[in-house]
Amino acid sequence: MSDAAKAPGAIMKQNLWTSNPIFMQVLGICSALAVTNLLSNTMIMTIGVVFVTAMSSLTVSLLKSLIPRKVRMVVQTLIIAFYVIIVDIVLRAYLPEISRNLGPYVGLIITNCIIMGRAEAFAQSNGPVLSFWDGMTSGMGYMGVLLTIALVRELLGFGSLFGFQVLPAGFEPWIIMVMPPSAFFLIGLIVWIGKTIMHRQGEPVLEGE
Amino acid sequence: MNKQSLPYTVVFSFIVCFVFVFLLSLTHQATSELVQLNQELRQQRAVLRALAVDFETDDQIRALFADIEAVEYDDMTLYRVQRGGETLYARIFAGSGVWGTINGVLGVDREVTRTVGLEIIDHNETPGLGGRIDEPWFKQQFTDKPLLDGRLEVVREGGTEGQDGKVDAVTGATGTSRSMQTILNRELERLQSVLGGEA
Amino acid sequence: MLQDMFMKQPIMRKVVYSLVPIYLFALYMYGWRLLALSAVVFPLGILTEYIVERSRGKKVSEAVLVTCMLFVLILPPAVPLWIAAIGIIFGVFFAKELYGGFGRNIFNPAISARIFVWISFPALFANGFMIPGAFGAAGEAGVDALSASSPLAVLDSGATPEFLDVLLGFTGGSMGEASAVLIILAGIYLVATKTAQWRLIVGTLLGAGALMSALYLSGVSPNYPPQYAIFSGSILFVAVFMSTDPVSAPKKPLSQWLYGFLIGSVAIIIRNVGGFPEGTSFGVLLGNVFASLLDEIMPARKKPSKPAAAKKKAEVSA
Repeated sequence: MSDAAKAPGAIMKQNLWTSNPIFMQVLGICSALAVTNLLSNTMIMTIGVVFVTAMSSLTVSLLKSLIPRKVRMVVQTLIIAFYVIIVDIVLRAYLPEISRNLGPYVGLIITNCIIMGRAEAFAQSNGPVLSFWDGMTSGMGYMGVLLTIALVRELLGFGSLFGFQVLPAGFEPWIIMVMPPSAFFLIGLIVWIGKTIMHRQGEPVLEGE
Repeated sequence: MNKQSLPYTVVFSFIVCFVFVFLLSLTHQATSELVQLNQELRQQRAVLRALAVDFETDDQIRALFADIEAVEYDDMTLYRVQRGGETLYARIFAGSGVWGTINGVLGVDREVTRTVGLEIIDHNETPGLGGRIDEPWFKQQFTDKPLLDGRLEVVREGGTEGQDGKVDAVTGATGTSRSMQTILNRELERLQSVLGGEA
Repeated sequence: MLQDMFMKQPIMRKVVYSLVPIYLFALYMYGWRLLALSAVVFPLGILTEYIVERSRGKKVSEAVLVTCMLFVLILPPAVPLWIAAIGIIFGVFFAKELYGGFGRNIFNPAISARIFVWISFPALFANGFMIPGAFGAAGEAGVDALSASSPLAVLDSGATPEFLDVLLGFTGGSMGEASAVLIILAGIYLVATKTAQWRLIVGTLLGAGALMSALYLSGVSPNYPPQYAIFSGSILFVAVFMSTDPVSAPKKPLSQWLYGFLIGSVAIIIRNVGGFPEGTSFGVLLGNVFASLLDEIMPARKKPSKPAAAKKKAEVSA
């Protein structure tokens, strides 16, 4: 990675836009399908992901000189799992309703490739502060896309936003929007729109990884 | 020190595991009581709702639940409450829905001639379709609903208000409505067998 | 102007011709509802395809007319117009144009459209059926839930509809699926003109019929005698018009048999066991998924079969 790319601003632009985890790298799709039918659930879940990516990148970066190469992956997984369980415990204790709605998906943050990807691709070879920043912005790139999907799904599927009814009572909810398949269509549309805009801007477009 | 050597790797792995697991245990310990309370509260809230007891705050739930006795009949735990000179019973049930188990609480009167209330604890039905059994309008139908021959019927066409033993189904959710009917009638039978037997 | 807008596709035109009698019959049964739905579906379907194809510098395919016509005919008559609008836009855009337009779509656009709106608005679909007859006047006069429901629903409730009614089509249901006689005639025309592949039709009916008889005779679903089950619901319509879609069906003879069989049996399984009253649309979608795979795993033939070659030519000339 060139020095220019390591500037905080450049990292942010990459993670939020030009190599956005969801619509450029197509990572973390499972949770994007499953927990995006209500904005409030999506919000809590993605905040969890931002926290976990940021903290695990930070920790991996701090420990990187101490970790033997042989057990590198195992230790990274351990660190990620640690933060995920913390998020799970905190949700269960302080936000029981949302924790119940999210069901197994909090635990499944562990399997979210974005986190491991950032730890391995960035934190392993960069300083702690920059790694923290990289993890956080990656998580936010994920958050942005998921919230967009959730916005459409909750609006059309329930006629509400963050639980507040915004569409008139006569509105007929689109049940398919409540079910996971609709997220496929929406992710597809977002990838399409995102890449089209990038082509227009003349950015070099990453064709999947 | 050689960081790739076996002893270092073993010691490092051990320390890392120990530290992280220790921290986790601490967090778990610190919150386990709260988590337990949340779960109890959930169940208590459901039982109170099924017995049509009004409450607002969590503290009220605990206070009101103190008036409720848990009684054992055969292998069943029933929750009993006295209200307006009547004895009401509720039982936590589980039954299979379309996608998974539906857990809930059903409240009935002493002779099992009417339901007092219904509360769904959790379910995995299709959100927005069968999942609507968790919405107030569906559950409120069971508030003081007289039974017909000790049974309930979930009617697809709707418009059952005021009719004994009949409640409206969720529109479009045939499977879930059918499951609810089966679960509830089986539950009513069980309640009748223990409550009806003791005259 | 119109000539410039459409590419010429004689095969698709024959499908449109074969649908005309069914369309007229539906007009008699439901009157203005059919016309209103058509007035929404056709312009929107063509417009959607036109907008996308224009950016590619291509013309609109005549296949979109078939898609629109089929979509109208598989809708319940009293379904709100805006639902039809959402359906056809979704079907043409997502199921057809995003895959690259005519000839490239994996899924049948009309069926995709129907499933999308059906899953989205199941209640409005369930309430969308009407008593047929007298150019729709019978339906407008009053709603009687039982007589408006399709023969399938009648069977489901344990009653038996008049067999002759079912055969001739004086029963409720989606607009085009009712008249077994007209659909069979259309099927004969399509096969005779080499527009449709008979293996696909027979395969679908065999799959449905075999499974249905097995379920009936074994007592699993005693409410559905096979002779009714074939002629009621949309099995016939789907066998003749949907599983024969030249784009989404497989090309090799053996895979065509399997494909038809798959559609027919899945439709019956969903109809009898699943939560939905009719399963033919799901059967077709699932068949579509496996179509290319079926072609892929079949042993290669020495020379391509005639219908496939003829179809290729038709596409090229179009």
